[in-house]
Amino acid sequence: MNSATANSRSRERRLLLYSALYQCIGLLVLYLGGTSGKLSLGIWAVAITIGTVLSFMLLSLFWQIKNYKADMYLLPITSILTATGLIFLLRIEPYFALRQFAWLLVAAAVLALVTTALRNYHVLSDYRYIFALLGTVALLLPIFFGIEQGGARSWLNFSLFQVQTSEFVKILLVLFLASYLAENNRLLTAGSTSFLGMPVPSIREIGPLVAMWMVALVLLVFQKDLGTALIYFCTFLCMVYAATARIFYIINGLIVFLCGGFISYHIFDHVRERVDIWIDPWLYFETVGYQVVQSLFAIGSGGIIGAGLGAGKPGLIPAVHTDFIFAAVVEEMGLVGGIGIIILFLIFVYRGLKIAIQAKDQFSALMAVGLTSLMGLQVFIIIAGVIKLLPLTGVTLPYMSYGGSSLVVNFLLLGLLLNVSHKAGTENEK
Amino acid sequence: MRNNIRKLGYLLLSLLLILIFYLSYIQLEKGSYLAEHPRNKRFIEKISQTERGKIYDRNGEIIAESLLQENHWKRYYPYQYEISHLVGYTSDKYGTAGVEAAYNKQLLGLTDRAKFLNFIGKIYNENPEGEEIFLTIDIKIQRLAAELLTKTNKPGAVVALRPSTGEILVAASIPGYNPNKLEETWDELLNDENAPLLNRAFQGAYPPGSVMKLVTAAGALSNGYNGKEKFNCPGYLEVDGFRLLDSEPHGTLNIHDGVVVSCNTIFGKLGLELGTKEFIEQAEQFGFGSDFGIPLNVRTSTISKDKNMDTTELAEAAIGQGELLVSPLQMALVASAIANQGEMKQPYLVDEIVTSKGKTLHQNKPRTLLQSTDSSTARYIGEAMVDAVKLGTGKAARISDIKVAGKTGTAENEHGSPHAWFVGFAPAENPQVAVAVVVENGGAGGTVAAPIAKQVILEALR
Repeated sequence: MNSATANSRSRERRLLLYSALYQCIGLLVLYLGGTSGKLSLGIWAVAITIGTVLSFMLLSLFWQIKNYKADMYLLPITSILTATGLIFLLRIEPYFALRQFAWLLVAAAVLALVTTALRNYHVLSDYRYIFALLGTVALLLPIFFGIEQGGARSWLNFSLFQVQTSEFVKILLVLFLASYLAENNRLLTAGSTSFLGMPVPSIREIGPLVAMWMVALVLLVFQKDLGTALIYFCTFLCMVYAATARIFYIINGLIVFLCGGFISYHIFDHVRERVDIWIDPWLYFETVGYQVVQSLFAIGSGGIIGAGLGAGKPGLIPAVHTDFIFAAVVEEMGLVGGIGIIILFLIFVYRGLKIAIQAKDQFSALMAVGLTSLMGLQVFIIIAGVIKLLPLTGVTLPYMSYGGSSLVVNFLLLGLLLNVSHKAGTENEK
Repeated sequence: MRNNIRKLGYLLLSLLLILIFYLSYIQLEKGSYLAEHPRNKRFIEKISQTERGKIYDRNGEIIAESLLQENHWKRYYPYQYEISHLVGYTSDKYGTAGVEAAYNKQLLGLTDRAKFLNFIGKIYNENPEGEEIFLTIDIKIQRLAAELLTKTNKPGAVVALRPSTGEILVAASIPGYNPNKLEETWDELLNDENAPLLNRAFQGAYPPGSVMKLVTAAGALSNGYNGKEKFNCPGYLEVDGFRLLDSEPHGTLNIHDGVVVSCNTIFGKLGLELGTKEFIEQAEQFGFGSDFGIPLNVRTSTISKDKNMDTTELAEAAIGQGELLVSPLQMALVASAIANQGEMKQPYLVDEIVTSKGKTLHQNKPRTLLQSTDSSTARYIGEAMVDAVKLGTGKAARISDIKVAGKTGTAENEHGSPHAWFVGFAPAENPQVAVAVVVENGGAGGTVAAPIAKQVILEALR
C-alpha cells in the first residue's frame, strides 16, 4: 500500500469541496436576488446548505475510516446533482427543500449503512425469489390501498409521507435479474432447441423472466405509471443483452414492446392521451397539453446562459418541483446548465459501466449493469419527456426532483454500485 | 460479457448525447419562437413592462403612444376612426392588427439590436423601450378623407399616394372604430353589418367599373393601336348575341374620346380584340394578383374565378364588370403608374424606423415595382383623363389653376346602387398625388366620388 491509497479518499473530498462551493454560491445568489427572502426560511436555507455539505463530507470521511475502496467520482457527482436539486427547490418552494433535506439525511444514512453492512452483497443473490415475491406484493399494494398522484396510482399513504413502492421495486428487479441471469447465463446463451436454424431457449429457461416482466408490466398498467413500466422493461432488456449478447432477446423484446405499446394506445385512454399530447401539445394547450407547452416555454425562454438563478418564472410549469425540475434548470441556467446536468449523468453512467466491466464475477457485473442502466434510462426518459423528444411519462429526475422515495432509492442504488466497485478494488489489491 | 457491457455503454451514452443535441436544437432553433410566443406568460409580462415605440405620421404627429397607468403601459391613439385600420391595435385579448401587428417586433424592442440596447439599459435601471416608426401617412389629409367619406353615410375608402415614390399618403377606410375602446366595443364591432374592422382601403373587393377602362386602354395602345382609330358606338355592343348596353349612343369616337365620355362599346370591343391572355397580362402589369409587398393584409385583385373567360365575360371585364374584384389600393396604383410615365413604384407605409433616442435604423428607399406600360401610352391616357375631368364624366373634380386627370366609375353590383369610383392624379403635368376613392353603393362616380377626390387632392397639394 502506498501513501496515495493510505490517504485514499482525498480526491473525493477535493471534488466535494467544489460541490460545496457551488452550492454556497447558489445560496448566495438566491439571497442577493431576494428569492429566498420571500419566506421566513432564510435560516433554514443556510442550515440545509451546511447540512448537505456536511453530510457528503462526513460520508467520505466515514468511508476513509472504514477503508472503503470504491469509485471516487460517483459521490461528488451525486452531490452536485443533489445540491442543484435543493437550490432549485429552495427557489421554487422552500418548504419542499426542507422536506427534501430531511429525506436526504435518511438517504445518506441508508448509503452509509449499505456501504458498511452490505459490502458482502453476494448474499443478496440467494434471496432472488424472495425479492420477486416482495416486489410483486409491493407493486400490488398501491393498486388496492394506494392513492393516486399526478394520474398514477403508485403511492402508499403513511399520513406524514407517501411511499412510491415502484421506486423500491426497481432495485429488487435488478437484484433478481442479476442473480437469475448469472446462474442461467450459459443455458440462455446456448439455447436448447432450435427454430429456423436459430437456437431457441425453451419455455423453462425463459419462463421466469417472462413472468417477471409481465407482472411488472401488468401491474404498471393498473398503476397507470407508464414511465416506470418503460424503465423496468428497458432495464430488463439491457441486462439480458449484457448477460447473453443475444440480439434474439432484444428483437423479440422490442417486438413485444411495440405490440404492447400499440395495443395500450388503443385500449388505454391515458396512454393515448400522452401520445396525442406528444404529437401536438398546442392542440391541447388549455387542458392536458398545458404542462408540456409550459415546459417548452420555460426552456425556450432560458436561452444559452439562462435567465439567471431566481430571475426566471419556472413556477408557471405545473409540477415543476418533481418531474419538470429540469425545465426550471434550463430556464434559469440556460442551455449551458442543462447540458452540464446531462453531462454529469453521462459521467455517472460511464463510471457505472466501468465498475461493471471491472467486476470480478457475473453477478456483480450484471448488478452494476442493471443499476447503471436504470439510472441512464430514467434520466433519458424524463428529460426526453420534458423537452418533448418523447411522450411525457411522469418519472423523477434522479437526485434532483422532489421526492423522498426517489431520493432514498437512488442513494441505495449508488451504495450498491459503490459496493461492486469496492469489491473489485479490494480484490485487485490481493 | 465485458464486450456486451461496452456495447450497451455506447447505447446508453448515445441516448444521453441525443438529449444534448435535441436540447440544443430546441434552444437554438425554436428558442426565440418559444420565448416570444404570445401565450408565453413571460413574454406577456415583458410586453406590459416595455414602452412600446411611438408611431408618427410623416410630419412627426403622434399617431400612437404608450402611457404609463398604474405601473402598466397603456396604448393610446389620439386619432381613432380616421386611421384605425391602418394603425391597428394591440390588445391582450384580441391580439394585434395593422401596423401594430406588422411591426410588432420593432415596436416591442424585440429586434436583436433593440434587445441588446435594452439589456444595456437594464444595467442602468432604464425601462425597456421599443423602436419608433414614422409612417408615410399625412394625418391631415387622412383625416379629411375620413371625414368626407363619413359625410356620405356609406362605407367607403380613399387611398392616395405619391406617384414618383410610392409613399402612401392616405389609406382611409370608413366605418372605422375606436382602438382606445376596442375591448369594450369588440362584440358590437363584430356584429356590425358594415364590418368596421375591415380595412376597405387594402382589403375591400369591389368591381372597378369604368376605371378599369384605363387598363384596357393601355392594353390596346401597347398592342397595335395608335389612339387615332375611330370607332362607332351605336349605344350597345353585341357579344355572342348578348347586348352589352351603353349609357347612350356615342357616335364616332377614338380611344381618347372613349375615356372622356366613358364609352362601354369601345372598351368592350378593345377587350375582345386583345383577347383573354393579353388582357390578363396587361392587368397583371398593373399589379393584379400582387400584394405589393405591403406587410399589412392586402386583398390581391382578381380578374376571374378561373382563367378561362368566355367572350361575354371578357367584354364585361374590359369595362370593369363581370367577376373583376379590385381594392382601392389597386386602383390608386393604376392612376399612380399612369401619372409616373407608366412606371409603378412599390407602395409603402413606413418611411423610417428610429430608436427611442431618434437614431435612424432603417430608411425606406423608393423602388420600382412594375413597368405597367410605356411612357407614350401613359401620356396618351393621362391626357384623356385630363379631358375627362375638364369636359367629361369627372367634372366634379375640377380645380381652378390645377390640371386634374381623372376617371370615374359607376360599378354595378349585386348589393344595390352602384359603387361610386374616382381615380386620378394632379397636377397633370407634374403629378404629386394619385388618388382612388370608392363609396359603396354611392351611385354615380362623377357625382359622389369625384368631389371627395377633389378635396383630397387640394389638401395634398397645399
